[in-house]
Amino acid sequence: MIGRNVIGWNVIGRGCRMASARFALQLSDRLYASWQVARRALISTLYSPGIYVISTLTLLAASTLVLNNLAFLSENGLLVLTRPFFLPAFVCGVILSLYLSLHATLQLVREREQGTLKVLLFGPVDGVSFLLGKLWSHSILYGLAAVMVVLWAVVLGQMTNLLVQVDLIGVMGLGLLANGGIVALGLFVGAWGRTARTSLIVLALVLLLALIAQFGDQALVQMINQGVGQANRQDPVRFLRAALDGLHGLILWLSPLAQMSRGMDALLVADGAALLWRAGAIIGQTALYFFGAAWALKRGGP
Amino acid sequence: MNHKLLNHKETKTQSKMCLFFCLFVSLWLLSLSLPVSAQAPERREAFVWATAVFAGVQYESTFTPPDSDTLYLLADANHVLAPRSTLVYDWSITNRLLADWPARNELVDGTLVLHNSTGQKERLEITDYVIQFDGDAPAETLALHKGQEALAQYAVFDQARQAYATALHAQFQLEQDYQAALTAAAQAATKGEALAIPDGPPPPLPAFTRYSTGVKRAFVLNLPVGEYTLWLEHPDGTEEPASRKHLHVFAPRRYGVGFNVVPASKWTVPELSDDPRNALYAQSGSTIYLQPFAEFEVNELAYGRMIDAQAKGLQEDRFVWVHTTPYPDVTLQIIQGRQVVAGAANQPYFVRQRPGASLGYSIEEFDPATEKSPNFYGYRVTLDEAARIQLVNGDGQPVMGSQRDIRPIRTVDRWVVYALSLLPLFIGGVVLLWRRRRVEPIPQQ
Amino acid sequence: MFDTPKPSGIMSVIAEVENEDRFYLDPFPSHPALLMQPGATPLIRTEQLCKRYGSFLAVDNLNLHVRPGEIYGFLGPNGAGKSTTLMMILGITRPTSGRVEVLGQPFDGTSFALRQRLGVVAEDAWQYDEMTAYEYLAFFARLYHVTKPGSVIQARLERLDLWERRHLLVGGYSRGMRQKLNLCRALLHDPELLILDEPVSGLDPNGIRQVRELLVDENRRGRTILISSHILSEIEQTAHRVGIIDRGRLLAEDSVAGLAARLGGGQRIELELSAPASDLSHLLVAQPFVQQVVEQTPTRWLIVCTEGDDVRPELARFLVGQGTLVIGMRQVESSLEDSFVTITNAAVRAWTERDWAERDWVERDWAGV
Repeated sequence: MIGRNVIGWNVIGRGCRMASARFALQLSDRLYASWQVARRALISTLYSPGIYVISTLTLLAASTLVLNNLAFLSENGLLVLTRPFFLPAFVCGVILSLYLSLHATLQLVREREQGTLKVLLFGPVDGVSFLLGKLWSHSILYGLAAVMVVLWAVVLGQMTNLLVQVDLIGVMGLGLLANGGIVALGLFVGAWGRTARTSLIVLALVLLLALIAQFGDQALVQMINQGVGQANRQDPVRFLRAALDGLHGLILWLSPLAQMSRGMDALLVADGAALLWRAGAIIGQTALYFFGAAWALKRGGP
Repeated sequence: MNHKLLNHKETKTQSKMCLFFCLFVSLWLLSLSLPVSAQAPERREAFVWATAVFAGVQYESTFTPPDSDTLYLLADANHVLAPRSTLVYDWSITNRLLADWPARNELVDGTLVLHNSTGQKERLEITDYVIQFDGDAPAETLALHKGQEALAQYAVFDQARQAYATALHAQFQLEQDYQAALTAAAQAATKGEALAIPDGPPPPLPAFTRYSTGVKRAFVLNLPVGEYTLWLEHPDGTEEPASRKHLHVFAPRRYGVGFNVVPASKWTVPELSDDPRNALYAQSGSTIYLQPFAEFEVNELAYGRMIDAQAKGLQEDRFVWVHTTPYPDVTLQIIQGRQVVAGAANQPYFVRQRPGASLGYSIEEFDPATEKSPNFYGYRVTLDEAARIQLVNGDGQPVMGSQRDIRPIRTVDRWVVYALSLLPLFIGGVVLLWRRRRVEPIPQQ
Repeated sequence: MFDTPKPSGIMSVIAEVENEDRFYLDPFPSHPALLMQPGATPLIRTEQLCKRYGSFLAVDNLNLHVRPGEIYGFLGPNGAGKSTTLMMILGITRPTSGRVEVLGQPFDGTSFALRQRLGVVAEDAWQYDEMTAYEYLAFFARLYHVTKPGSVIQARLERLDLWERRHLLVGGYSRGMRQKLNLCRALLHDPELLILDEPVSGLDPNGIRQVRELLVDENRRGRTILISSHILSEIEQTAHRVGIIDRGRLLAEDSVAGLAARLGGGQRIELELSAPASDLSHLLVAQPFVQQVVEQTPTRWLIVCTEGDDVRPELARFLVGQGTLVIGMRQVESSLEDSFVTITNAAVRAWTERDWAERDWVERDWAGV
């Protein structure tokens, strides 16, 4: 009996060792393949004007915010600010993430439509490594743009004497994570959509829904508090508000940007635990969308 | 093929049905609002916890609605929890549950049972309490007395109030005497008689600024940080069903010094600096006046729900600063590098309007000889170079959380800032040109 | 106990396909036959492979074997299930049932190591238009861990006359150039097994010749090649063996010559009539010297006759007797196209005549086709 057990455990042990060795091999193959996919996609994007145009637009938006602060100061004579470049950096991060998300969706759908994905899958690339490659490339693109934003902030800080502190890098790092989540969401939508148009429309709708949930709720609260309309217990506005309230709560747990915003609050008050929690939530969201995308890609085929 | 067509048709039919269903539900919801819009809110009997909580500088009262399952209290401070039976109703205009206290406000008798997270149980009895403070310095004099002390303090207050009433009466009498003497003097004067003119009116009594609630009955809690469960046990040993709540007792995250920053150029529009990480920016050469106050930072959700149990839009991972008392007189230091380059003391200032059409003003040091009272007090700082300020106490020790960066801003042309934003476009242009030179052009067909 | 009568004609081909122990390779003098040893493990082996899309059966119990060192032509009309089969072999599409072995190992598309040993050219020239040809190949060279990628890329591009255009964006390539580039990409990493789907489509005659020579060379160096194509002349010139698939079933599998031999082995006479005469075909089939009539066009027929003496005089007499004006009559050699047309036409005719629910008849009754 004991002998049989020992043999059984040996077999199981050997099986586990083989499985883990196979997993490690697959993992290294996948990482290598994803890096090559990322490298190609990255170079391809850097050789097209889109990323430069959008980076310029984000910096223009950020500049407007900084100039607004300076205008306030010249009018009021005083400006009290904790981190003058936090909000501009956040705006840059949001615009860049939205663009990169759309870009990732389009890239995925195009590769599918044009058949280049199929050619990759004939070789040592699978759905997971392909998606991972896209995630990497878009994260690196974000990273490059983030470096540009930090450089811009440093130069502008020198010019204006506005304080640029080290934790600006923290904001961009948090943005990098959130960007991963948003790009994964884009890949998720792209993997489900069969055409570029459908995917883009769906992604735009999802983002719009998030915005409505985030700001519509607040607008309704204000409206009700100001006593607009005949409100009562059965008022449909209340139902709508309750629905938006619920949606808002849901979006908070589904939107990496909402988590990033909370993470920035944590960064502002130097709350390390909350920051880690938010970062973890973003990583969780990214994983959710990523594996959703991988599953959709496997199910739908190239 | 037919099968596919059939599926397609089915899907279309299902979509139509779904659309009609949504339309129907929307119309139904809208129709609900029409007949009931003029109805008065329905009142219903409910058990609530009415609270008077110490919010850092004063007591705030609220009540916890039956559907709310958590109470929030600040640690190591006296708070009042009163078990009450009242009538509640929905007030949709503000989307809140309100209590009709005048209609019913009954104390529910019983014992408060308190469980902490380690399982320890404590029982509290209802006790008398009063809340008192002096209006001249409410934050410094605020006190909650309970039990016999409450009765004694209320008696003291009552005595003082009566003494004040007596003094007021005497003052009134003196005032009347004075008026009578004046009248008599005037009459004597008309008759040509000589009569002594009274010296002057009696000095006015200082205002009675002490305040006290009546002696009331409730539970008074003072707990350390932790998670608790509480409920009310009736005298017969049964639990009041709606009384069981989770109690979250929290402490401030940190303490600090906030500043009201008054710019000399616009003294009526001060800015607030709560966070020690704030930097104060101003034009180079401008002057600011700093008014420090003590503060502490608490969780937004916990604090907000503590002072208003139905507050919405609060976030559990955000923190807010609660301002308490003006900071006692200390010295302000201006530091550059590691060296203290200047200091400032808390001084009174007077704002003098300039005569003429210029409509300007100047802020001057207050001179009691020429002016009645100062417009404000503050520490005066002139911004010439980037520096750091901090408060130091009588022992020369820096006051925690009082540090701020002050920075004069350099003016930059907005077009220069926009031009700087074109950096990525420039880099992109270089990369694309380089790429174009490396790639063979596509032959024209 | 009893001698089973040996099937003849197409039936013999089908019967051998169904036989697991079959071996009927026709040695191809220009190829290393030694690699194609009987009993060698097939590099591609499918067992009872099925793919069903809803109620449509795209691939039906397919048993395919590609042996080491051979060039295997995989033929079938449009929609026969070729691409679906290839996609299942490559692990892109998951089979509904059945089993695929590639390079001697079960393959479901997840093994990176196995995929490294495959070279694939798809029918459509799917490439990244924004890359130059060199960049494109360099990307795949890195992906496949090619050592000294520069020289390998140069050799591959030079072989197919693309080296001069290496810095041109792929978007500017013609369809033929793209196809050549695809082939370069598939051969970059010296794969053991090449799977080519329509590798010469879009190529000019020179290009076709170049690719044909390249494939033969690669095969001489020991590479096994599976070609799916509808250009039958190409397959005829390069393949050792062919498999013909229609409606998801493998109808025949043999060498080109073997297929022709098994299609009756009789004389093949091409008739050109002055006018269509559809009733005549039934009468012709009833003649003892006629085995089969294939109407290539309404006025051009291929008559498969019995082996032995020249039957042309007899055929001419019969036609004249029927009052048919014959414009031309010539004896033709059996080609792969003939085999393909004969087999697929026969199958189509049989399928349309029979109830779908009883499709197992194919193996039983085909002798009468």
